Order: sequence, then structure tokens, then C-alpha cells
Amino acid sequence: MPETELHYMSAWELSGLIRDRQVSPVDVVEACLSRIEATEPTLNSFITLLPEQARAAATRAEQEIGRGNYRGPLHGIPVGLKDLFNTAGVRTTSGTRIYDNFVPAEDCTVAARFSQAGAILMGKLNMHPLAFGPTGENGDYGHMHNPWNPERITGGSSGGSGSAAAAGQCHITMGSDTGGSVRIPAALCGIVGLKPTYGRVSRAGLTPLSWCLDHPGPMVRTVEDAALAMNAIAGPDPRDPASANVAVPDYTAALTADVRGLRIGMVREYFETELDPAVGELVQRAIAQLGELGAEIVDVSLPLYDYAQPISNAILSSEATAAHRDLLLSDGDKLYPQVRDRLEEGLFITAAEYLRAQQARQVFCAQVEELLGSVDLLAGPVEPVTAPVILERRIDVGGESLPAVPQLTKYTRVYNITGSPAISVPCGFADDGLPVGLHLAGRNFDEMTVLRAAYAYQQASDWHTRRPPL
Amino acid sequence: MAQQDPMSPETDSAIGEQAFLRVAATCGIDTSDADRMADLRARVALMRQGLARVYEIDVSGAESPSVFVPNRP
Repeated sequence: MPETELHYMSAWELSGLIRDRQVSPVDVVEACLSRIEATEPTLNSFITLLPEQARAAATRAEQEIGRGNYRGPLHGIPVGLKDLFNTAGVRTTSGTRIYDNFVPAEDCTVAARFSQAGAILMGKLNMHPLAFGPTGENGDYGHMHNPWNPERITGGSSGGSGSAAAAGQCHITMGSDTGGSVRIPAALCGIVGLKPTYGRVSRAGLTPLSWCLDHPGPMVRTVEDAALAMNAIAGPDPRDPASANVAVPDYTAALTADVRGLRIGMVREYFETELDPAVGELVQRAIAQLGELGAEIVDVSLPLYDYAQPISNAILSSEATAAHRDLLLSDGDKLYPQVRDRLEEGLFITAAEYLRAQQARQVFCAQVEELLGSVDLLAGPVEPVTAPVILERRIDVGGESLPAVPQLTKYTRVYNITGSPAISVPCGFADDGLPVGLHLAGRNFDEMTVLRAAYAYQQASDWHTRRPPL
Repeated sequence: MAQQDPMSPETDSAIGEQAFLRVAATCGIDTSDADRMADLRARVALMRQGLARVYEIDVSGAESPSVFVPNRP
């Protein structure tokens, strides 16, 4: 089997071949390393690449499987972790040279669970410094580049995770999502990004940005692979005080391609704000297609939608500044300027204001919860535009020139506030050749319904099979 | 350049000018650097415009939650 097929094969497809010893993990890792060698000069997905460690792990996996010790569907599958997931013995920079030499003594829970499942760590992925930004810029390790057009952003903050998965450098990558940092790069790079329910996947051993908004989540090329990743990483963890003691289902059971009986609410306000007409049309067409597949599509309203940004900003800024205050004082001059600016601004929010935003968050959550009492899912766009040009501070959205950062996060922040599971699934390409994502969000701890609808849509379309011209 | 009130628009617990300068100094900003301070004032003013919108929401009955609960078994 030629290597070129291996790097783009899904983990789901590969796992059966590895289990049956038709494909060796050694060949899979070599295919990914070749792909990385060919594309990394363009993409800059990695901060730290681990070729020798990955080759050694692949050889061990091959031997284990050869002895009949197959661990499960992730055994021998290449993964990449955003560089804020602590990895024992492997430096973890959080995207800033200030931590260039930080080598954790132990794995974060997610890394440990992947390792236990037999997955192979290919390296640590580039990111917006401290995860504080939605574009995928990095002044220390270089900006991330979109595989569909390298002059465009990957989105962020998990930009390297987006480009690595989209370009076939790794089969499964992980990001973290505080205001959209899994779903934004997933949408802009044309892959699947799942932000699970808050508390579903452990944050232990991740560099925090905002304790009550941070969600680790998988970024992959297919919905099946999101389910496989979730099966490995989801579940209670005593190391994370926010971890939820809620039973974890077999997520692959959601892959039925049947949406009959589901009620999907199309949120009116998402289409009334500034939105590129081509993006809006693709998203509306995807929602209509879910209707043709048997779901009932209903028009719903979220009157508080417009307050998502101010609520999220107040909480995120306060917590990010609290988390990184010492760094700001000791090494502020070494931080990426836009990140330093945002941390400085957080110093000027008072405790009373932070708590008022948390009160407002409760009111906001109640409104979303009420909506999700009448429908199973909420649908809309992930992004109002396709990927903007790198370092563009203002972007054109439906004919209006607007600041990039709030535009890129205006749909995603809603579900960080509520903690709800939400996914971006590819739903087409605009005239500029760049991908667009469909946003589906469900009730807390009901990732199953989110995956079920995303899989049904994926199976009825072929967007996930298209590859960037690299 | 006219000096902007960095904490405008007023919210119920805005800090005053002296506190503003103190906070700026603690984060390593040279408060005698007029350009740097003007930039900071403009950014903080913009950030607080957004923050003021939170006060438009009726929060009656909603508690101010804390993630940390000291006595939960």
C-alpha cells in the first residue's frame, strides 16, 4: 500500500488494518513523517517534532500487536498535541519562548490516556501564544499557515492542530477551546473539531487560559475519528476539580447516520448578524440537508446572543490575567504584543465586575437551556467568513470592515459560556476555495446527539474527502 | 492628545485615576511614557465599553457563582 494513502486514511479505517496486521504502525508513522517533511516548510504546524520517539513507539506497537496485545482502535495511530498539553520529558512551551525550556515531569491526563490506548505522539503543535487569540499567529515560533491557502490564517488558538490534521501530518490532533479555539481552526482548515461538554475531558496538566471556560477537544478529519478520540480521553479525573463524574458512553454508537426524530433549531440571530452571504448560504444548505435526511428543522431565537461577547470577554480576560499575572510582571516584554495587551487589559476588570459577568452568564445559560428543552440541537455557522489573510486586523464581513478577533469568536463563545458540547463539521467551500464549517451544539453531556447529526451530515456529503492542494 | 478616562463608561465599581496608574505600574508599564499610556488608556476604555454591556442584563435571582466550594464533601 503506498504511503500517500496511509497519511490521509482515517484512524477508523486504519485501526482495522493495524489490528489485522495488514498495516504496520511503523509504516503509518513513516507516512506521516514523510508528509510532515513535505508540508511543514509551508505550514509550520509543529513547535517540537518527535521523529525518533515516534519511530521507537511505532516499533513497540508493532511488536505488541504482533504478540497479540492489541490495545484497541488507537493502537499505533499518530497523534499530535497542542503545545499546552504537558508531556513527560518533552518540552511544553504554551506557544511562547518564555517556556522554551519547560519540560514537564509528567503527562497531562489526555496525553496519558492516549499513551495508554497505544497512540503514538508525533510532536507538539504550534498555537497562538498562551492560547490567547483566535488567529494562529505566533511571533516566537512563526505563524501557522492554512493548508488550503498558506497566505490565510489557520484560525486559533489551536492552529497547528488544525493544519496538521487537515494536511495529513497526524491522524488525530488535540486542541483546547476557551472561546472557540478547537472549532475556529477546524472550520477554517476544513476538518472536524469537537468541543466536548465542560468537565467531560480532563484539563489536568494543561496550561490554563480561563479555568471555567477551557475545554480540551479532538480535531480530526472525520466524525468517526472524533468518536474514537473521545472514547480514549473522556471520563472523570480526580486530578481535575471540574471533571464531571458522569458515565461515558461508547461514542462510536452515535455513528448511525440516522437523524430521524431529531429537532434541530436554526438560531435566527446567528443569521441576522454580519455574515458573508456565501458562508451563510452553505450553512443554511447544510441545515436543510439535515432536514432532508429526516430531522425536523425549526426556527428558534436566542435573544441574549448579542451578550455572549461581553460576558465571555469579562470572564476570560479576568481569569487569563489571574492565571498569567506573574508571567506578565516578570516577562511581559517577551510576550507576543497582542497577547500582552490583552493580559494588561484584564487587570482593569474589578472583582465585582467579574462576578457580575458570572451572574449574567447564569441568565444566558438558562436561556440556552430553555431552548434546548424544545430542540435537540442548535445549528448555525462556526465562522462568519472563510479564513482571512494572516495578520489582517480588520476583515470584510458581508461588505463591512470589522475587527477580526470579535468576528472570529462571535458564534463559538456562546457554547464556552454554557459549557455545551459543540462541533464544527465541514459543509462546503466558498468561491475563494476555502472551507466552511457547520456548527451543531447539544445539551450538556449529550455529545452523542451532536456526533450523530454530524456523522449523518458527513455521510450525506463528501466535503471531508477533499484534500488541500499541498 | 486629550486624556481619556480609562475606566469610562462608569460601572458600579470602577477604579479611579490613581488606582489606574498603580495597576499600570505593577504590570511593568512606564507610566511616564505618554505614548504607551495613551495606548493603554484607549485599549482599556474600549474593553470597558464592552464590559458595560454586561450590566444591561437583568440578573435578579442569579447568584455570583464560585468554582471553589470550600466544604463540599
